[in-house]
Amino acid sequence: MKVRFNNVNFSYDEESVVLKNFNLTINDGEMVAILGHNGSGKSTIAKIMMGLLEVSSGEIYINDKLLSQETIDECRNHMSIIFQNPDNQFVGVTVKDDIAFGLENKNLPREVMEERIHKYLKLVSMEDFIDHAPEELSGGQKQRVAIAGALALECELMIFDESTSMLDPKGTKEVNEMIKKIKKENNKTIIVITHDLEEASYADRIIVLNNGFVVADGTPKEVFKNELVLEASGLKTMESVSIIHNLKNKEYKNKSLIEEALWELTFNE
Amino acid sequence: MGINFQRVNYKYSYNAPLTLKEVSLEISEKNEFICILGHTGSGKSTLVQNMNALLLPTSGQITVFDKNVIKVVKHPYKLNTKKNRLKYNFIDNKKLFARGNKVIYSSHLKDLRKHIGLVFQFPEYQLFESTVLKDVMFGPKNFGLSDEEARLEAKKACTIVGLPKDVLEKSPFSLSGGQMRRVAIAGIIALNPDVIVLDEPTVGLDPKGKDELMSLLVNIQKETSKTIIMITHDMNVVGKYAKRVIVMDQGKLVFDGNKRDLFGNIERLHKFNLDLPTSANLAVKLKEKGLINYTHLPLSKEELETVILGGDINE
Repeated sequence: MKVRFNNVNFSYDEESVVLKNFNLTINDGEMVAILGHNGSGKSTIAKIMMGLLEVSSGEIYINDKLLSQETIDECRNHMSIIFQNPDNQFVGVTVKDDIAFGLENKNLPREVMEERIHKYLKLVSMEDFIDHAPEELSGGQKQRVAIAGALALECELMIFDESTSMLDPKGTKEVNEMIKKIKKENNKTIIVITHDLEEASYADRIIVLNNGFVVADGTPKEVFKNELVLEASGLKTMESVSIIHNLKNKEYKNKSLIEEALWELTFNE
Repeated sequence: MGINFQRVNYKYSYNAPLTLKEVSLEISEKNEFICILGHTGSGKSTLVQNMNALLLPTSGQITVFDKNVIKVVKHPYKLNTKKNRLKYNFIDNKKLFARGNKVIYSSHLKDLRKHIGLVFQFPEYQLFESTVLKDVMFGPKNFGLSDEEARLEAKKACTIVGLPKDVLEKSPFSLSGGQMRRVAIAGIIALNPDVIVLDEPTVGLDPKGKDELMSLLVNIQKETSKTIIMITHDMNVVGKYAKRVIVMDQGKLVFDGNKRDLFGNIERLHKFNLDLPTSANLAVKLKEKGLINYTHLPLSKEELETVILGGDINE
């Protein structure tokens, strides 16, 4: 699934411009992480792609098809998004209902629905909660249900809009492992919008946004080396890279070995 | 003084399982910097909401600043007897009301909430006023301050959280996420509580915003010696800032102590579904390779740099 932004302009009000002459191409089967400070326009990009916001000018192509009023339903069929706050997207009375909601909208036969509900709830380890109501779940548990719901739609493109921010470290790890697994096995295109550098380091490609501009675009290794750009964008590089950088001008024992080991620990795990 | 929990149990409804199980703890009113950890659904938020009586315990006793907030009795309808009035030290009946089997010292609730300011998860969603200043003034005015006094407190609070002056007359909704969160925190600081409790204050902020917020909290504590209690999932925050760590697991308080104790026992850490801070993880692996050596596990980037340079960590 290919997504292309061509000279897109967007603003919420007259005072502030969020995206200005924005160009970006995301290729089929790619896992892209979009990094940026609060208010850099990360989530706006996702919402524009889903047709939730209308651009002031410019075009968006989904699989080479122009996103417009006429094609929006078809385009949405290829995409699913998981938002930051699970409370905003929980529609069902129970966990099962919530996941079924999206599937019902796709007119799937009952057996397929049942099968998918069980399959994906198991994947996010929420199978035991199938008949629970949302208010009985904690924030992180709700988010896992939301992820299962999006997965169950089996779209070509999945957007994760800071969707692990409310999970505990173990939950975050599980979800990230899951994202990698889905990408590997199903050749999905995945966009992860995040502040978390570790989460971004799993991606094939990282795009850094600052005030609506792309300021860096490359592999995790290339981008994390660029500490100045990250810092200017309200971000920090990985701790290991920052340590190498901070101690660059100092002498210490095993210097080259430690530097080598820190690089290895950051990217080869 | 401070906050005292004695064998506190809590459940959300009659049939629900216990969310807090026999939790006993003592928190001093000054100079504490406590991080509360635990995986999702372990009872962290329930615990802090009990601290300022947003939730009332199912059984057990909570004392806040030497005031008994709540006491669970068997027969609330008998409360109005002479004997009980003496026992619970009521002067007049208005001071208390009963809900279920709980006696609530209603006159104490407002007092209590003045002692303990609670900042919720994503507090910026609760901003509602037309200007930042008015929003921050809302709390102090509710506690009976006049417009003038409230404005003064609000301005002070905005300075403490580092909001620039020109923001005060703007709509809070025109601000960035990090700034909106500062406004929400200022709303609590304006009440001048003795203890500030924050439920995952850094969630959703970018790394710079996170650092700024944490140093803000550290500064507030240094200058005012207020006790700060925060719920967090971020082990890097714990490694760098916590003085004391409380871990919740399935409603039980399973650890209460020093962060070095907690991170020193990796097996137990994993049993609680917790992880090491990033730097500690790197340190362990560098030590395995025989590249560095230390007696105390470094818990923050700064500590790891010290160790790499051949130094020692000061306790």
